[in-house]
Amino acid sequence: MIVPLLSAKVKESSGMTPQLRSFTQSTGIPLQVSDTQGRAVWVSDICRRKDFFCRLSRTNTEKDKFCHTIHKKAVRESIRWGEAAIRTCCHSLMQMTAPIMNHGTLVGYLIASPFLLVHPSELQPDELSSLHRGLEKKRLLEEAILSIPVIKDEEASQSAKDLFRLAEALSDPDLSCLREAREIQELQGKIVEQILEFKALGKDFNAQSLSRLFYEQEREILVKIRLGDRGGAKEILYRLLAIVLSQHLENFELLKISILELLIILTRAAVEAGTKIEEVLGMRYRFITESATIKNQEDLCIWVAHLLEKLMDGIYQTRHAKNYQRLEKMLNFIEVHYNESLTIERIAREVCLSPSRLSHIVKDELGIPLRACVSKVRIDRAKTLLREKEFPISQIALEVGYPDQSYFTKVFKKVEKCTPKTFRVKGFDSQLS
Amino acid sequence: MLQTLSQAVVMRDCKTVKDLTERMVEERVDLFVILNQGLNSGMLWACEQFRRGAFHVPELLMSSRALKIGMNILRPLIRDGERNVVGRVVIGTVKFDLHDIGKNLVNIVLEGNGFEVIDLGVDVSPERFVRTVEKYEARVLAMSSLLTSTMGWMKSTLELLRESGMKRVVRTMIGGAPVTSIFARNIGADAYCAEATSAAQTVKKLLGIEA
Repeated sequence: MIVPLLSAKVKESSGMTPQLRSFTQSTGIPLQVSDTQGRAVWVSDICRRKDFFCRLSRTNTEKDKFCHTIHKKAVRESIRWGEAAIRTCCHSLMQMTAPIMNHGTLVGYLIASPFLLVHPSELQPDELSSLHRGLEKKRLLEEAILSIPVIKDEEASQSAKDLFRLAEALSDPDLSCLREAREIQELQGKIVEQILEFKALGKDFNAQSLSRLFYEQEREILVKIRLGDRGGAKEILYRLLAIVLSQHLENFELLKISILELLIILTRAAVEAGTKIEEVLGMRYRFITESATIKNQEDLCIWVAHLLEKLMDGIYQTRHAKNYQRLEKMLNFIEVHYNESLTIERIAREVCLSPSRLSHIVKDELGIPLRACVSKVRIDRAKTLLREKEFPISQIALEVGYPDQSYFTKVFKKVEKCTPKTFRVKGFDSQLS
Repeated sequence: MLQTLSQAVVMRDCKTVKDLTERMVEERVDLFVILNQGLNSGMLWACEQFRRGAFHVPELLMSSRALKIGMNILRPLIRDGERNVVGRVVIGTVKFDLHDIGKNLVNIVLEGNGFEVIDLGVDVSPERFVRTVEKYEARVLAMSSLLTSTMGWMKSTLELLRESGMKRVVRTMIGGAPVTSIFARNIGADAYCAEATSAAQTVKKLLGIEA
């Protein structure tokens, strides 16, 4: 039943066949649309001579089955990562695969294969023996290997993206169901990056230092949420999730409890920032009921990341729209000009308000004085410079807009509870003590 | 020359990797220096590029190929120098995880230090790990994972090892980008390997062999 459906889809979409052909024409790689059983629904005709090797190697049904098993694995990976999978086949030839879905169910796949990333003349003896494995007719094989298209590694990445787009066009309604898979993997990637940063601490990385870092980051995320700084809040959320995963990855129930604690912290900050309490309570209630059905850590993490987005949307909606536009403009202005002399008058001029009116709006909407806003941006930048550059402290003070080093040290100490020098010596860990 | 070799791995320049490795071998540069400071360091840099999104799968595959070409020159020489097998190690990437670059580096380092390595490849189930350890009477089981979602299989493998009574006779070591010493301790692994280059030292320490 699926074959006619898929076949109809290929023929029905008038632009589809030319698009599939165009892929093979531009890449030179033979392309096939297959159903879930590996049966060909559409095969590129213009490049048939280029899959000579495959036709030669698939002399019996056993080998055909083996190819299909490899394709199936590749499709599974493609669904898992939400992008086309580039892998090697049993003969070490390259292939790329993308799934075709119908309302979330796999109905077939696109397979672009075979191709090589290096010219056959550059193949190493072990790679050549892998190509010859189990095959006879050596002379014909040599000819077949030479017919395999060769594409550069950078071009292969682009072709994989094109293949995924073709699969999307053949899917019904599209491949949006895989977008969440990609989002989950991207989030996990960000978490792993944070874990790698912790690991770089070496001996200073332990359960105690993680707990201390958690509390420090908890304070930071509250400030970011209150400021309405979506990007900054997300960055800290990745770090908080990395801490929680480092502590409890092996125990899912403990992990869930920690995430629940995190959720309470985030929602409380959102209430302080102006989100309606009923909305926040609704979110907490939903988590408690939905969390029973969440069975793995990836879904838990993406759930919290989505929640943060919703909370930030809520904050933007409840804040006075006009005020918010001005605050956003003000924050952007500070981000760009933090290293210059920033008086309240100058900032107020930029957002077309009187200094006293601006000070009032900042205090009302963000809950902190304007001066603290400026300090926060400058100190955050100083922390990055202290970690990454070996500039003298006096130069860093200048770079972030404090001509007077002792004043910079005073402000830094007030915000970070340690001097810039201590922060540099102990790096990350200085935030923990 | 080591830096150029490392750079050639990153740039996927297989010909330069081959020529430079051969030249350094001729000039009697220490094989482990070529391996660690030349080939491995280039591969680690390529992995870092991949993590940052500057490299995609094809580029990483080509860097990995360049590394392999260099290793094919070094491997027989390293084996010649280290004829005494110090121990047998079963190694693999855990179930549902298809990443093998880090594991392959560990494999090379262990072989280079005189260990006999039984490499099970990627996507290895707990049952297969335990069966192989039992069959080959391995002294060490080394597991790798590159995804937070597959790290749980390390715990499952250790549990199965415990159930089968093998945990007492085999020492376990884990590693991979998201794996930490805290996780290793929490799941009861005997050692955590922070980086491929320290794998041999970690295993020797586990077995009470002087490093």
